Amino acid sequence: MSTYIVALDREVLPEGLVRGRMDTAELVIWRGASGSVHVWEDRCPHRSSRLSAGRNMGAYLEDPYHGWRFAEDGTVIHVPAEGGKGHPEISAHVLASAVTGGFVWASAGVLETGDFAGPPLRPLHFGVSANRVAAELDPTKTRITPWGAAACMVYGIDPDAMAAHRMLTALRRRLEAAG
Amino acid sequence: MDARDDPVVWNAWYPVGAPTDIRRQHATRTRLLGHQIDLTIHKTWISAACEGRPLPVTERLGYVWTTLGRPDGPPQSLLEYYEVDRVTMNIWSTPIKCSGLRIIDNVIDNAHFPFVHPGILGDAAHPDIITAEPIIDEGGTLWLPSQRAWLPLTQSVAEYTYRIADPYTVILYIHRPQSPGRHDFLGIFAQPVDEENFIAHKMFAWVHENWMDERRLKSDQQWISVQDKYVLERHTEKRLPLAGLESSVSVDVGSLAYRQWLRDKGVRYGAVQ
Repeated sequence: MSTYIVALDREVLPEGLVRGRMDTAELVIWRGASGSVHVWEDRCPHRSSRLSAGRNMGAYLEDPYHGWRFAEDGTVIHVPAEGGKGHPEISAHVLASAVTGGFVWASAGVLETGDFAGPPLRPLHFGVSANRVAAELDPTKTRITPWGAAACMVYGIDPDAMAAHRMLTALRRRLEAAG
Repeated sequence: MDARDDPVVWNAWYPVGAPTDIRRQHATRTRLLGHQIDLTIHKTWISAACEGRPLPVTERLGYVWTTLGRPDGPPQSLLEYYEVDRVTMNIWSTPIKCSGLRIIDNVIDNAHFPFVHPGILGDAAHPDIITAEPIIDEGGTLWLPSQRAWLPLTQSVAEYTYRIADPYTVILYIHRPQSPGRHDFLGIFAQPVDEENFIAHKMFAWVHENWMDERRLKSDQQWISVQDKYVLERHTEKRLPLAGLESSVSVDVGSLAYRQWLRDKGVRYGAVQ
């Protein structure tokens, strides 16, 4: 189980919801009222609705279908149709996550963020597999998150953001054209 | 999976469109259970065929019904539909991107009213619902009687009964408090295009009242359906899990009864195995 970057810390705003992916899992990333960032599978445990279609109310995340409320630890604290009863035995699928170096990291298994810090570049989506992109890039300056089998997201650090971004977009054009 | 391997689904009747829509749009091609259906518009009726094989057709409840298999009777009926004092309409036939079983599970579930249809079928101040024990009659039809939920329009609790005769259809009986024993009807008939896509055909048959304006009623019903379409297309799992995978609570009795009923029938097409 690898650890991947799933978002930039600065992009996860209070009361906002960020959609992400990691391998085949769809993710919802949100910042709670406590200030900490949570990475969950984007799936309500009740009827499999995308939680990212719901609302971030700070203290809890509200599911779009039945208004179930999920506390920051992922447990169900309020089911409206049952008079607001909580269900501590039901929980969203919470992934191990951490914020370091300006990035949000997550893992379906054990979290290993490693040493990767610097001014973060704007992440770039590539329409080719993670392996093909990895072969072209410097692993000390980039981290690659697979998005399914045929796409990936590239996160980088570089003090010269403009030049690095230009290099990455040129690489993307070349790899996607090669098909 | 191949729908042929699911006899209950394969041998059921499905609507393929409203005759008026088919004629107006010259819709001579549609899909059902992964197969192309060719429609031929005749002067007085519409015929259907699959790869040259003629299929049985029946016009009923405002739609043209056909089947790819061998059903053990005609499509389900609703005698009240033909009562003279009813307003009957086809609300719409619209494609939705998930399993058709999902919309049946959506219709029989009153708990979503305050969140998906706020101010129309429910509001956040009255989220409580009352359920009753499901019944399976001698014909094998699943009934969810007397499901109660707050209705903002009348500022009172409304009562609904749901009738599921086939895996992909449901008829709503809206109880009329002013005339006990009579109901207003809505029908949701799913035409499964494949396991993860269907066309929702919606039937309307309410007792006529003087305030009714057909155009307004139709657009109101379409508005409710479009709100459901929004949540239906936002399921991470497009098929309906019949067991496990999704957690349920005490108010989900109807939903659980439907899943159990599907399991007992051996339905797998459009469901998570």
